[in-house]
Amino acid sequence: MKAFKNLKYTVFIFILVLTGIVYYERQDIRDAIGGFLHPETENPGGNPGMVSGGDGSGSASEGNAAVSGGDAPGGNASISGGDSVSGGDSISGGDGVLTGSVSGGDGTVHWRYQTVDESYFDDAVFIGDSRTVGLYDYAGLSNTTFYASTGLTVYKVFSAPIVSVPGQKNKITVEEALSEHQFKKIYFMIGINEMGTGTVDTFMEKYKEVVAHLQELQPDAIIYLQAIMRVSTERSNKGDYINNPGIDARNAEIAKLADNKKIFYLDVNPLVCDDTGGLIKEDTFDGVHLKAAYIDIWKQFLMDHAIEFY
Amino acid sequence: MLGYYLTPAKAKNFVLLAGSLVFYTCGEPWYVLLLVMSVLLNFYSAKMIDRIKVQGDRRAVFLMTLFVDVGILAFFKLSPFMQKWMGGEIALPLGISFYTFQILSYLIDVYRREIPAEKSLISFATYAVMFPQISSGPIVYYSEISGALHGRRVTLKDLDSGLKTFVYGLGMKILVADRLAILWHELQTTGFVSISTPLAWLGAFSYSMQLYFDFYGYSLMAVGLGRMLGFKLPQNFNMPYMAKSIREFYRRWHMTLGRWFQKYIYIPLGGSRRGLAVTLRNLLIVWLLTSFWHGAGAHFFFWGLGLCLFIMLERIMDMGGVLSRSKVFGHLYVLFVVPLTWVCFAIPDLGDLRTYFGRLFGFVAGVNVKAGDFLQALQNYGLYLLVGVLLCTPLPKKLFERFKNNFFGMVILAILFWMCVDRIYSAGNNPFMYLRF
Repeated sequence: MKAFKNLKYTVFIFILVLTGIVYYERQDIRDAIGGFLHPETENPGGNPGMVSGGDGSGSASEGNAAVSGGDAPGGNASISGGDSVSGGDSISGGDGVLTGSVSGGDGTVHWRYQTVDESYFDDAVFIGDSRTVGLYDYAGLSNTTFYASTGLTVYKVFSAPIVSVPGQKNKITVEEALSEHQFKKIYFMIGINEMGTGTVDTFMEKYKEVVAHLQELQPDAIIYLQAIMRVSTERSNKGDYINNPGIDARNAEIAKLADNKKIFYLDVNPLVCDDTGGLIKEDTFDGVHLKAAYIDIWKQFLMDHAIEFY
Repeated sequence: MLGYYLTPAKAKNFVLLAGSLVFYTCGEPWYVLLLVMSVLLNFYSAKMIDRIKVQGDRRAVFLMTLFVDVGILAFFKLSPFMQKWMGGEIALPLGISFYTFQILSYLIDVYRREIPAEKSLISFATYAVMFPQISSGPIVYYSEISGALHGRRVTLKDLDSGLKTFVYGLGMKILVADRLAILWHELQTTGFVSISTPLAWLGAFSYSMQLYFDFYGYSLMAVGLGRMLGFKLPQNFNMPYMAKSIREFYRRWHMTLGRWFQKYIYIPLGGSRRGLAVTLRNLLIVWLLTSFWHGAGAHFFFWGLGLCLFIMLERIMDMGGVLSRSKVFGHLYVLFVVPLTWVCFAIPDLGDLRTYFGRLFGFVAGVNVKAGDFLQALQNYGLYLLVGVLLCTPLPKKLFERFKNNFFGMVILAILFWMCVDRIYSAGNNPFMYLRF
């Protein structure tokens, strides 16, 4: 009788086991729990990171056409793609390499960097992962469109529903958004989340596809491929898949995609890295993201490196 | 675990000890030797202290052992400062602050002849390294579990009750504390200079709750596991945020540490019976030691000193009565002061600490502050903050006690358990899921 009485203390264990069986057998329940618990998985920052910008009347050629001085630290690094362009390309420039010309079948294209103000970004779209979300959050570019989301990768950049549309509850994909709006400039920085999967080659294969598709969707836009921002040396040495050699290997390949006609390569790393080659320790907490106060370095770099054709 | 229940009562300590050592070795493959050494030293010293009749000799053995114990602890606490000439970083051994204090309490109690020395090495070692509480307490007195160490019957009732307590603590830690931790992590990633003043306050409150649920959750899990193993471990928290004075707060927060300092430092120094000046001196000593116990960083010093000043003020102005009679003011005072002290606790870099206070009180100008960051944080973490606030009140514990044996209460607990498993599982796939880029 006493043993029987004690049985009530096993009820909880039974419930635990039963619910456990249900939990493991039913994927849908597991997903529901998961969805309830971490709805922000797609976006831990909780930040939609999206704004619909002004409808963009191009102002690309406006602004002072002054070429930024040769002392712009990022200047040199950003031309490395030039020699991959077929045709007799010549890159000129004094101490800093700041202008270039590319001759293709349809004539010669001359370009140079100019410094512009923020309105240059009014008809631009920024596409990227959490680093770009940081730019959206803290660079104060309120008229600029951002299609950025934490954890975004080349594999789902077109398919992830991350763009919120005013007055509409459901978000649409970047693909849909790019089909609806045309932009004059596309700033693209992506590639750190992918480092855990595949190789440089598999990544680049997808990356090229994405760039080609971007051109299809936005035939008139200048595409700025931004080098993946490095991580701090401390973070890089942690021993997991996130490391600077891997980032550099990808960047070297991304740079080769620049045709310097429609696609340009920009590398902000020299401005945000120290002499160990990683993000400046004081400028980042987690070794991956610039603190908000230092986002301006990046923004200013982009403003100093707007392409002007002449 | 199952093996533990199947082994006969006499061998239970041995199984538990072996399991705990394996557990510890998994976390700290080398420092387990230090732990074993500590246990052996104190076990045999205590035996000697117990046996020796000559007071002077007893004292010598006692002081020598004490010196070694405290010396090892102090060495590791100070090691961040000695890095330069030791070449390289030294990690703190898991749970050293907790197990050292637990062993010290035993040693002192034996010296004071409050308890006889333990005869069985296995029993003593089990007390010192028992896995539920070795990493973060509670700090148990030997006398509290010596009975259970020598003969305990684990009933189904204990198992049932312990499991429920464990799930309750697990939920608190995984579903609330770990969620709120993301907010704090975001503030750090953004950089304190770039957060708005309202967000800085929200961050301070959120961190206060995060720390509480993290620690309280761990303590509850330890108590629950202990119960499942047949031990009754002391409670570590008693609704601290319902306190009406800082003094009361620390009678409710990390109680097993507080009573340790009370018993072994504060009272022997004369406590509060020898006039105001001595009382204040004693408070200062206790709080300096408490800061040092947490770590030798300057921010811990500010944290402890700040608290000490408030407690002294309460003493001097004899505010205890006024505060405890007040209905609202005491609460407001505690909820204003305590989060500020936790900010000191949280931020090791003094420059960052200054910036944070600057943002709290507006004397440091913000750089690239995002408009509406406060509202966004509320939107993202509002649910967890609300649950957190509720959990600070006596209500959830009452509900837990009332419904834990009710069928629906058990179903809810079971669901909570699997929610935690889900979280741990997805975090296991990606340990820093919330750190994705």
